[in-house]
Amino acid sequence: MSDLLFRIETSALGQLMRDSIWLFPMAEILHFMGLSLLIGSLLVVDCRLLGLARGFPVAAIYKFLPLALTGFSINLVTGVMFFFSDPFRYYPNIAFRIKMLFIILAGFNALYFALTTHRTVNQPGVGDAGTAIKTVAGLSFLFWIGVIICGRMIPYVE
Amino acid sequence: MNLLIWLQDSALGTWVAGSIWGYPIVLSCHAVGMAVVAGTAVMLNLRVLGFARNVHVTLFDKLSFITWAGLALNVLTGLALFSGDPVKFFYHPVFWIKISLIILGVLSIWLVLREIRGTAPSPADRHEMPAGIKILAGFSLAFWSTAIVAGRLIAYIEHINGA
Repeated sequence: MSDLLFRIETSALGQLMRDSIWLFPMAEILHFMGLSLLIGSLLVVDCRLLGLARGFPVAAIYKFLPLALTGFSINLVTGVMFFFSDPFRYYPNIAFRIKMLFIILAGFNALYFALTTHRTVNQPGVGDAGTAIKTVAGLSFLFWIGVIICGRMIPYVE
Repeated sequence: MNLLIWLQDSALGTWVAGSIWGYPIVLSCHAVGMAVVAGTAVMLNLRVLGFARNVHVTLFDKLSFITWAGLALNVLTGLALFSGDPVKFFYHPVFWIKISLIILGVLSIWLVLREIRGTAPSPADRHEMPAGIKILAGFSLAFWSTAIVAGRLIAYIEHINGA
């Protein structure tokens, strides 16, 4: 493992991240914006699925989901940039590890949603979303809040 | 500034600055609140600008309590973070830029939401907002984005007059 981490650290991207004084702060700003996009769109969708604003067709509200994917993509790219800047710092960090675990859980949760449950409410005019989909929506919240808290904790658990 | 010193020596100030977990816990909550406030504000403004037209704008009136709850969380956690090091923040120019942008951001979404409440909830899809409100929504997007930029830069730009 340490061989791989060493190769990441000495890679061109790792070098670039350490050499530039503005690249890291720029990536951090984008990481916070991506986070806001992700949480904002999930809040709109999840709140509808949880039963708030029932009069609004779910199928239309799904239009907000691509923004969540956009936010996540921004954060995947900038997150990889952080990791490359100092892999030996992130890899053993407990907050970083729990954060990654939460992202994987959120990923499986989203996959389950995409493959099965969303079809059940994907017709216009359907009011209640059902227990399975409400569970998915609730878990999505919890997992992403976990991701944010663990992410913010990374510098303080070293 | 006596008030700043008083704040620094208050129970809250010493807890945030002195305890091991005080600062990281409050900071984490501040990040959650930021995502909630800025995130929902961006969704509202994008919808007003024409994104996801099939969703009636009044949805955001129904969900506005989430934005205000996130704002309340961040006013509280922001005050706590401020009391952890009041002299640093008070004399930090970027801090006041951030606060100004947040005030403008809050004002802009309040005005946009007020306009939406005036919109009769009709079943008609593709509701179009007036041009004036669209311009306001565009400014609102800029306020919230730059507020995030300023917030992050506080950590990178040292205060200028060395107070």
